[in-house]
Amino acid sequence: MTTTDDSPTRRGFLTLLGIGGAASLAACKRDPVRYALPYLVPPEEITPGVPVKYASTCTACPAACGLLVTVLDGRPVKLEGLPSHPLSHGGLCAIGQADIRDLYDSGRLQSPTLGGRKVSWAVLDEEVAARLAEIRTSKKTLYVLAPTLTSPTMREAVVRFLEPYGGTLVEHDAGAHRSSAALEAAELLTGRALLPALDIGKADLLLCLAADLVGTGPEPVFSMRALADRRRAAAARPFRHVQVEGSVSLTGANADERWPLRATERRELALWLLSRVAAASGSVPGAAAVNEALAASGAARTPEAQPRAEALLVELLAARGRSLVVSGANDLVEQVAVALLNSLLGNEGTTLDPAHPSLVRRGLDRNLVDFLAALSAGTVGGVVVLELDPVDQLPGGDRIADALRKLPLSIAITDRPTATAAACRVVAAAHHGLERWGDFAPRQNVVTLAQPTIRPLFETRHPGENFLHWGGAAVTEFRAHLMGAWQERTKLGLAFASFWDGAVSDGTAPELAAAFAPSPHRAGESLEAAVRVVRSAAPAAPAAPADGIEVDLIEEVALGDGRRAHIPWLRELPDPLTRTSWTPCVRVAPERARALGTADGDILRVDVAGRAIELPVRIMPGQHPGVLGLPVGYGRLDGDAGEASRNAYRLARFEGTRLLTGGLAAHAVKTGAAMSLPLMQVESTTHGRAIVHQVARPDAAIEGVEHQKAVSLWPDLPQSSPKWEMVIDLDACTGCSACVVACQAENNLPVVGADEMRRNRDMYWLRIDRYFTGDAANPDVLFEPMLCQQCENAPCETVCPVAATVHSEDGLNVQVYNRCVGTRYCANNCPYKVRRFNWFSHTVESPVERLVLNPNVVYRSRGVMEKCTFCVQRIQAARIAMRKQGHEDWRGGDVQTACQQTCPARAITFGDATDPHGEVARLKQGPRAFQVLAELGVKPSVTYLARVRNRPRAADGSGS
Amino acid sequence: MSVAAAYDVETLVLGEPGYGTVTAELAAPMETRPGGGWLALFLVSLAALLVGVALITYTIATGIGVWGLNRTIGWGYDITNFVFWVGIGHAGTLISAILLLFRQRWRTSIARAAEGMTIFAVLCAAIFPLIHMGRPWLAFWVFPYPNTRGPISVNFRSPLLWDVFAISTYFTVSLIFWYVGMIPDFGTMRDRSKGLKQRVYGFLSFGWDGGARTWQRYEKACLLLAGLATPLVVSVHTIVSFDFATSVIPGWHTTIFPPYFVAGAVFSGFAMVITLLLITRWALHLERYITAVHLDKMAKVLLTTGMIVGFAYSTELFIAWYSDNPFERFTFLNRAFGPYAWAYWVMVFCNVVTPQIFWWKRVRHSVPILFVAAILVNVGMWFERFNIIVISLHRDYLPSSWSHYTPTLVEVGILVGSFGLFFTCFLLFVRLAPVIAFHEVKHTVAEQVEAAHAAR
Repeated sequence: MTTTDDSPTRRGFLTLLGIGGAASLAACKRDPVRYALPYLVPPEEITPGVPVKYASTCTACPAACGLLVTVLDGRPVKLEGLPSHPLSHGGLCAIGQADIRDLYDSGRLQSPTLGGRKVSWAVLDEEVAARLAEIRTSKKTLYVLAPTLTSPTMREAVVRFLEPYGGTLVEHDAGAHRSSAALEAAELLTGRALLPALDIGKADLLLCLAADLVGTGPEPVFSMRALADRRRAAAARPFRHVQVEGSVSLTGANADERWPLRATERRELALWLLSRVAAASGSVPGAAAVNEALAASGAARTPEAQPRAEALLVELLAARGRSLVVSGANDLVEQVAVALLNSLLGNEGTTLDPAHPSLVRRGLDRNLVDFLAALSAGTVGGVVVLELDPVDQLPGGDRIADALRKLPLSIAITDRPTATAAACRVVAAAHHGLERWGDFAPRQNVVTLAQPTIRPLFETRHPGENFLHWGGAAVTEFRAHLMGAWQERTKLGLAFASFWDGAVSDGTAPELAAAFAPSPHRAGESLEAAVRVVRSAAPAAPAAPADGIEVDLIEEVALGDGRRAHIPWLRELPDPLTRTSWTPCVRVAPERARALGTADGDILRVDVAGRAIELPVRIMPGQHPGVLGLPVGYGRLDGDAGEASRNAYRLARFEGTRLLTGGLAAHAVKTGAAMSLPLMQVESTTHGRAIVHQVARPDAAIEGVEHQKAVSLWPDLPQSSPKWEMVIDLDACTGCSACVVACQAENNLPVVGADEMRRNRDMYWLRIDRYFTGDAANPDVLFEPMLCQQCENAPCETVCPVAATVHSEDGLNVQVYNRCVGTRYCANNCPYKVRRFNWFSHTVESPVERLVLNPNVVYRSRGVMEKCTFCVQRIQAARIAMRKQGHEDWRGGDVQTACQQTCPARAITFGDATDPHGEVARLKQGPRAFQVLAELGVKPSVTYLARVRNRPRAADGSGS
Repeated sequence: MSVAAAYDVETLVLGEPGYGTVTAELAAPMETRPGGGWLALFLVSLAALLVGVALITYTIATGIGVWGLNRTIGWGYDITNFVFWVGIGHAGTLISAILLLFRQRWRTSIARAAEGMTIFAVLCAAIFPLIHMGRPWLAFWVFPYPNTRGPISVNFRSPLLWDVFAISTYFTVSLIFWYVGMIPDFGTMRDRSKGLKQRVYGFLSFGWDGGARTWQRYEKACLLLAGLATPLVVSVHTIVSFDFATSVIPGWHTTIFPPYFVAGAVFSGFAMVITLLLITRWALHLERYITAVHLDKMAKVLLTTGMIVGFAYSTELFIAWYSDNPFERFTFLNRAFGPYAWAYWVMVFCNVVTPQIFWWKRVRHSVPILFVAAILVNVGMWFERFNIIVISLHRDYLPSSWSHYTPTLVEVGILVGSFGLFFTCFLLFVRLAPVIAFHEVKHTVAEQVEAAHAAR
């Protein structure tokens, strides 16, 4: 952002205007506006009240999805996926959607501090420079601890900053899913510690060993799109997804088949599969060596459930070169076994792309262990913690905090007051991602740019500028630095300026990726080293006895690693699997819950090697009876004011050079205390009701829906065009809940808090119902997004005494908020229970937090009913735009609802149903199409496509 | 035709009092200072009313969120209380209008009290649709009046709007009927009192002169009003039942509701009349006018309507099974065996089992048993409405939305407050207006004497 230029840029002016608007909005509360100055020269492009969209990149996690930021009167009001992004394809996850709420959070750091006192940046820089000079003269080292830096320029800036001190950049990915062993396995086989890119589109069989690809994996949006596209193509080319895991993940819930196994059993299965595949791959290079190594180690024991494993093996062998095996274990042997499996099955180069590896995970546990060892040994002179919170996100955080406090120089670069920031002397308040310039390379062949969409709200600084200032760079302004760096890389010379404007405007340009220097290729030890690892594999000793308990730390879709644990939208977002909000729960298998004598809400004390946390129980069918799933991210200073007894990170353990977050032997006892869980959904099954369907094949028709054809005594209503309808493909929907947050952001849905959630008073216009069917111990999970069905014969409309809910010409069931007197009769009479009542006033008091509200959607007052209207404000905006152009032809019109836009899986189709060539009309004709409660004759405008659960009949143990 | 042949020779007034005695005894509550019993009852009622006023104020100031409702259960105590009070308000007009048309002489002693009860019960009922609104200050929007907001019309398809008309009509007609009936007695009171009291009763007596022509017109007016009120007795609760019957919710969407609701309303209304009259009879020493014969007849009405209600319950169950509709079947199984099964069985016990004791004459004549049974019936009828509203809503079509409803203390307090309002009004009524019609009782006494002579 321009802060030093004399001439204000267009964007600078724009953001100034934004802050002006924000300030006047804030002032509304206290004082009437005294002076209103009209534009003397109206800024180009900007019409007050007309939104402008800017391409950018999401910074909520290293996956760096594309963003399209809607800016209205100078302030961003909505984030959407950037359709042209090569990886995210317009999708955005729940956390990405909520990032805009983070921008306006009143808990953000508003200025830099030194020893807890507010200081100016000059004073801070002076202090840091002095300390750095001391370090240079002493024999001590300097460390920068950061999450995986997907930004090449940022990474370069950090490395350059460290150079004079011989310092080290330690990348560490917080969170329960550790990629370290997978990176090391890749390093052994390819020479580069980078994860190979997955090409699910080419796979016919996906075998995941506790890898949560679509839920909380490294690139959930990308994986979700790939998986959904593959499932959509399954009619032509059958596809199967088998998930082997201990704790139910979102990916497991979406699998065609789920096989609950403990960590050690999974490793055993991987090694056994490897041995059998090697035996069956005589001619494949390396097969013999692998076979011999496994025979020598004796680790490839036959799994207990041999028939099931044999069936899996047959499938794998049948899908040679078209299968994909992924493991989420932080265990080198398992990761090497999986890498070898893929190699022997011929998947490398087809379903796995090692040539263009993913750059979003670089955290190697060994580097972290080295850093922590140096920290406790006292050889460290200074540490810069960049947007990480090791104190709250690593076991033994207290010791790390103590060590940080003793350091001559400890710097936290963060936008939030975290436990780590509390332990550091220097706190450099950082811009929010939407206030920053940046570049991102999530793949070696993908580079995108981020541009600020608002002038910084507070006295903060771009995190990268810190390193430029402290490293004594000539250019310390990050935008200039970024441009300089790319000018150098692209070697475009004078043409750069115009190229740059275009690249920023598009969010990316192919020249950027072409100019991006690949990371140095180190000669790998390759197969021999990998075989050595397999040979050394000892038969794994289970962490816990067969009837014992082990703990898997897990991540929840809403909170991820917990970095965004303070965002109320994410705290309230019900977990797609447990349906709890606000509260972390131990996920316990029904069988284990019976053995422990616990029910939902009973507080369980889980003890891992002397460290215990206490959390309520949530019974989770499908969970392995010996495995407890504990979500991380809760109980931090940021978000939970440090309720350490809920911080599951404390249970992780360092073992050798590995940070273990799964398969931890544990002891669990009921404490006798209990709490009422804030549940979004109390009932878990359909009670045998035909309200959601799954079929065995993509072209199979649903059984038992013929009778749903309702007969009406009344003539049909006159049909006008357009008529808005929606189709939701349950086979693509993963339950990821991005749509729920997108709806919240678009439609100004209030957050009600845990107590109100306990009273079942959520305000979600769109929810994702989750049902378990089949085997009670390991059920099929069905997700069904439920929103207002815009019924043609809407039961809500007839009962309102004041006609506050009526039907529009284009088939919408509209709600007139200012006419509503709040009898709640409409909600009672809604068969889908999608109407939400404002039990209290939800006025946002904070003037900053209020900036997130979408001015195009009225904020509903107390006592008023509200509900989904298919984003009627967007439809109206499109209508106005078309009328201005003198026509009203909706065909090919691109009205998108907020939920549809963000859906990473493209599960939602929306459009004019009267267009015979439209997508909606086409999908409604499919064999999997059904409508929920169609037999009531309400004629819903939402059609669902049944889930496909591809399971060979013989292997189908659940019989649903 | 002799009088003896036309009427049963029943002793509806004990001891053949003279007209002067009748007037003196019945006017006594208005002319004497209240006794301790009345005062105690009044203070308790007033306290309950004040609790209600405070909690309603709190609700309107804070939001409906202070109640136990949620996204699944939009109506709970509010509409339960509404239907309950509307039901109570039924017996009055039934007694005064339908029984008048059918020339039931025994109505004379109880009709006035029952009419008063109707007015107060409908008042109590009217509170709930008002305060259950999210924005009660805009409640006037439910009236179809010319406005400058469009003009926006009300929705004539909504049963809630029909309620507005049905109940306001019923209230108006009942009020006029009640007042017209009291005019001759106000005349009597005017003649018996002095000072301000005389001026007030004089105003209320509408210039009553007691002439033959006046009497004739009075009788005609009463008969016409009775004819006008009769269809309303059936229509009001029929329309209230439409709130549920026209919906799509299983357990609500039922064609049996109109007769079922009317029978239930008469049932609960009579139970409340019994409760009130037993209290009044005791507190105002009116044993001479409210006799075992009255109690016996009212107990028989309870027995009959109780059995109609029981029949309706079993019909609902049968039709749920016979419909083969899985949602409908589940709803009724859920009522009987679900989380609210206790409420269902309380209802069955109170409404179906309790009235069966009235097969025995001795029971019908026992004041304590009658009192307890009448209260049980009202408890049962309250639960009937609770069961219909809450149990049907809490588990409807999509199990994902199933929920549970527990009332808050605020809701319980408002229910208590509505009883406070009801009893405060009633207790004031018995002190300020003739609770038993002087002229009608005198007429009854005359007939009784005549019949006795004829029989001799």
